[in-house]
Amino acid sequence: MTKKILVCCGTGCLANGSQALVDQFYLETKKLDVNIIPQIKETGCNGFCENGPMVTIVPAHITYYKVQPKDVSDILESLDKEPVTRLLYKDDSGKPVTSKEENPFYALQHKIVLRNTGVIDPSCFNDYLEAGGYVGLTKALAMEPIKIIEEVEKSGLRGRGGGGFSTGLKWRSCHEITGEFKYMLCNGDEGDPGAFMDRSIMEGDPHSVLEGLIIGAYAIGSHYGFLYIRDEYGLALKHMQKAIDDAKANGYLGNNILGSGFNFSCEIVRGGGAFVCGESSALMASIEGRVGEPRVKYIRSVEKGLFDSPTVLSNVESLANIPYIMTNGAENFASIGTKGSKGTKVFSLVGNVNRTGLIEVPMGITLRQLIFQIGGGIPNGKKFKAAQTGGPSGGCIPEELLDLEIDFDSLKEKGSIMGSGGIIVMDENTCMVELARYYMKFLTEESCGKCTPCREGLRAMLDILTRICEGKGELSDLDLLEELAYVTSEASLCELGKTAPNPVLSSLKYFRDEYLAHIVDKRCPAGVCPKLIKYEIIPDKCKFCGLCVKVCPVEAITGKPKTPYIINQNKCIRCGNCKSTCAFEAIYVE
Amino acid sequence: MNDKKRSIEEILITFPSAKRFSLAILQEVQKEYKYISPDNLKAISNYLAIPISDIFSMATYYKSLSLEKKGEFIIKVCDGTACHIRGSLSVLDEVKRALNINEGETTPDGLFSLEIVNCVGACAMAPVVICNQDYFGNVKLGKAKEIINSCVKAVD
Amino acid sequence: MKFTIDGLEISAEQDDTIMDASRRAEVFIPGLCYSSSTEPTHSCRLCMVEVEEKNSLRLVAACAYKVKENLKVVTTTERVSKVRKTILKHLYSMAPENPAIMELMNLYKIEKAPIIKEKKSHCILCGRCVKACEKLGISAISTVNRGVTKEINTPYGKPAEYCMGCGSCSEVCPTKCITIKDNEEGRTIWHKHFEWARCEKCGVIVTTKEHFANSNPNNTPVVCPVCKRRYMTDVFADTFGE
Repeated sequence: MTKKILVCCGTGCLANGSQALVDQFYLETKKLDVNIIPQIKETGCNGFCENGPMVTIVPAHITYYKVQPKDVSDILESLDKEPVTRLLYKDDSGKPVTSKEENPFYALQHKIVLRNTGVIDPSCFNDYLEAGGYVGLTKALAMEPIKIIEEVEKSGLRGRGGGGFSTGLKWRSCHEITGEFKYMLCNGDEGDPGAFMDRSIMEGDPHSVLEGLIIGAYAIGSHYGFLYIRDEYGLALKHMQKAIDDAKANGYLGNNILGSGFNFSCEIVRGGGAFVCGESSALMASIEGRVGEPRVKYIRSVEKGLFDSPTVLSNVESLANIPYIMTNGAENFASIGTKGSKGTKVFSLVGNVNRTGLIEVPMGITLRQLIFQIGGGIPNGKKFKAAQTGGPSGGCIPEELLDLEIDFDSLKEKGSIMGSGGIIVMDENTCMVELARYYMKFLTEESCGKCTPCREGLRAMLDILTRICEGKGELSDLDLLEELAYVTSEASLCELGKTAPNPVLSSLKYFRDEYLAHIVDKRCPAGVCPKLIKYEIIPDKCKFCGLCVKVCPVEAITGKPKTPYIINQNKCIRCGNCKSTCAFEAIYVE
Repeated sequence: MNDKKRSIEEILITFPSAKRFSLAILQEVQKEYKYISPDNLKAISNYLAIPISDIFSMATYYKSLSLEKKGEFIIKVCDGTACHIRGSLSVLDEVKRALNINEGETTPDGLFSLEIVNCVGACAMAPVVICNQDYFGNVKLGKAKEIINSCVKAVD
Repeated sequence: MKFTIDGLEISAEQDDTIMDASRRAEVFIPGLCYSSSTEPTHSCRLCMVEVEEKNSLRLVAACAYKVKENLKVVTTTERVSKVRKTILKHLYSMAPENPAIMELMNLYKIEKAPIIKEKKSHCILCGRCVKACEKLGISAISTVNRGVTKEINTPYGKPAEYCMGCGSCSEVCPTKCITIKDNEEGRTIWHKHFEWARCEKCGVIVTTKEHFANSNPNNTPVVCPVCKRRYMTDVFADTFGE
């Protein structure tokens, strides 16, 4: 069997230089005997971007991390011998591991959505076919549309874009409406800061999304579709377009798909850079060529959506689940997960955690498993403080809830949401008040500005939180925040506004003491808010090296030879350069 | 970089004259000219037979579109949540000092524009700085100048 | 179709929103972005009411929610009053001491203190002016920017090519915040100056020259309504005798 060398070429690994690595592999394999030349494949994201570029050898299943062009010759030489130990991942006990399964980052993962990502070449149509692609579509086209819907309903799949609405039920509602024109849309306008699963799926396995879209279109009776994808996702756009072209050329898109008599075509619309366009009615407005403002949805889009026609909008990750469900059956899918949330969820585990990256785990896994087993805990021996789920529309989950089994319902109950699956881990050095301020700032910029409670409510909450972070807060501000948050969530026009106060409400609920510290003691316990902290030098630890003086941009640090340096607090702008440069940990935040 | 730019007519002709292509046309013009000039805005309005105020409204609504000419190098400091809690604001301050401009501004020589972006989906490498198409991950304090210089060199 | 607002029975027509029917029946629900003559924007959110749906109450915008047979609408709940009061405070912050807002503030007995102290343009971004201009087929103004930086203006804040100075935008503005400067020479609105079209008979101002030209066939003589009536009377007198 020909050996394959899989080089990860996701955005993360590309940034770490995997293109040069691919070139080097091609260059050096040319010198090898023709009979043993391994096949080189550029794959999608493996999720462990921080340790990229990653290279996997199959069928031996050896994975190397942080591979550089200079390592290529060693890897090629070792193909029939022992693996190159220095490039292997070392587990928590320091033991090098060869396969991904032994790597603690991958051990608890269960791949459905990411089944092909990192394994196949996303720009190669045959790779997808060989991996069992389009089997689901072939099966679906032989079924009555309503039977497909029943199957999807039975699987228990819920929308992965955030809402968690039953995908099957949505399809059924649209199927039951008679209309000549119906639209099937894919939402790839992933905008949650801290989430990048949709990008990775579109980059690494675009056909699975497309296949899901075609099956959905057949089920609801749509003949035209749009994929709305963020313009910033260059590689995802490229791979998705290639997938559409290849599918068309091979008879999987267009007229009379696979001889079934079913016609469906689709095109890509590039997002304009507006977070609110992830909201369905704003997304549709944007496709129609208008300003992406949401509209009132007392009439559902399955009745009256894009161009006033019945429309189904499904998220990238939801769609990527569909081929699996059609191929392996609803029971198989429904056997994974919790009572109310079936299947797996892709999370982006980022922030202050040792192993960051993209992971896919069964619904119902605990935060503790996610952060401490897969993520390997908090770096530098610091203490876990909270995890933010659901991005700006979600909330924070404190330490006492680490054993919460996460699914759509449990997170909602605790004042957060699943959202698209971003999990941002925060340690003791994250200020929860400042984080709430950060989210409000994000949202004031991203709110469309149409309705009063969202636009003005966010503006006012940001104003108050900024004041608190600057030490100018008053106790009455907390009541005002609660009032504003309540009205914004009750009276806003769209989901962005309705969920926008979550970061404020959840941090007030779990970290009220931090708000009080800022307001009453004029102190930032996490040492973050610049107006409430100061940098000081510990005289005993200062070795007079002068490095801090060099990196200080405002010449606030002075010192005489062989005496501890001093920071002039009036000049200091609290940039933190000195602290991060000091090799002796002689600078601390007060 | 000195390739001749396509004229507005050449861009327009590649799209059908229908309202739903307005965003795509604006994006294409933005890519070609690095901004939407008043003349081009008017040309789009005429081509699509949409009031100029509607096109203006879109051009100011969508973040990827700009009415002012951007620099040759667009430095984007990611302030997504993952980057934020790993100190992206300090990185931003450093880039600001290095370029001597604020976010949203362009250097007088037209070489650099500085922008804050909300998450580019490279969270595992936070904090991230992007210069045109190049991603720089795990940016440490004190590295801003290095990054800026390397972008310029790569083009020279 | 019949439905009730706080127990009061009201009749509605097909496709009526709660607001349409309530205004016609002269049952008061506050709302500043609503106008029966322009396309709705659903933006001010002052008209939030609760409706009974599946045995529970749901907060909805009266200007957007379509009436159904036997729908029960309630406006006297704690939830409705809380939401309206805070929204009014927001509107007050945007347009302090504005008569239209003050009237509602007094009605709901709200303390007059802005949430954010900042000089404001008195525009509450209801969007009625944009819709009015659009309805006339002019679209000289639109929303500009987004989020908290959103405003209403002409492209580039410069005189708009097609603006004809008719002032319809100002007419529909609930806070009367669109500046119109009228004097003997003419009118200035939205950064643009217009000359008056004066009545050829008596010399009174009819409207702006552009507006007159736009709304009449070419070469129509400018005559004010009073003179026109008088002129018509003369014609009648000539034809039919005194």
